[in-house]
Amino acid sequence: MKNKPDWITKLKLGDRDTFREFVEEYKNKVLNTCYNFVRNVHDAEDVSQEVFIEIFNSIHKFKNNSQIGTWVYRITVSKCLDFLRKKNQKKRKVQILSIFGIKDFEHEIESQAPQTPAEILESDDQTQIILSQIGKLPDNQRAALTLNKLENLSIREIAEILQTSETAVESLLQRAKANLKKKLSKIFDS
Amino acid sequence: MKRNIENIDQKLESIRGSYELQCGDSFTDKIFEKIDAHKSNGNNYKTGLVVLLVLVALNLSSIYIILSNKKNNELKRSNSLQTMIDVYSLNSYSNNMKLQFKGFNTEVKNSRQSE
Repeated sequence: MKNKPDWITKLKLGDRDTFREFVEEYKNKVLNTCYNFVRNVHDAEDVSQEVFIEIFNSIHKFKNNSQIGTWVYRITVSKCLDFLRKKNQKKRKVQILSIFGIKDFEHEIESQAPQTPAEILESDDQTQIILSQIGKLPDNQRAALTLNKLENLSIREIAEILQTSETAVESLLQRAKANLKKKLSKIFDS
Repeated sequence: MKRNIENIDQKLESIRGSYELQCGDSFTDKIFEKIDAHKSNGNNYKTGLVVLLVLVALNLSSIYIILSNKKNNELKRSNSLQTMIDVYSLNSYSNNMKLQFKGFNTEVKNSRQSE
């Protein structure tokens, strides 16, 4: 999506109506990207809102030499990875607590949450396994693979979002696929 | 099972585009609510920080006043002590002089009498 020149200026001035327009334009795109990372609709919605708050607060840092869409993607990916890191820390805490027989009720409620159509689609065992194994890849490999395979972005676009070279993205994708195959062969062979 | 591993790309591509999530109607309003809440929290934080800084400054100034008062008192005490010492030594000096003068007088008297 091309930058609308007056949009950026107005956004930088903190114009609320322009920001509302901006959110309306990008909200579904951001929500779907977040969902591809976090795989839970409620979490994806929360992270998407955090993305827009971050955009509102740091729009003055945006330089007009790049596409606003790429910048939005960059913030989205970084927020998603932050969220997943925190979630993993929380999971580890729950595991430690369960060793001592202490239950975490917040985590229990989360696991009982109703499934949405997108989640039901993933209840297919193989898809579930593949997605769960993508979740176990290192952050940069996971980001590259998700953006390439689930978001259908080109190597050049991913390189811009991750602020790296196209060669680095290609190598990230190769390593991600190799790691994923290794992890899956362990599961399927056992 | 090898087929499963080889089909990763196909599997992932089949997930892509198979669903399209839509944000709820209240999505944008919730963002504005959160932005306003962040702002007011930020303002409260700033006010709290200013109050804290003022309190710290007040405490520091009162500590400074107490310390400088203490120093002044010590200085006054040492000054008065010095004065006392000076007076005492002056007194003892004058007493000594008086004694010496008295002795001199007696000597003069004695020599006159012997003459």
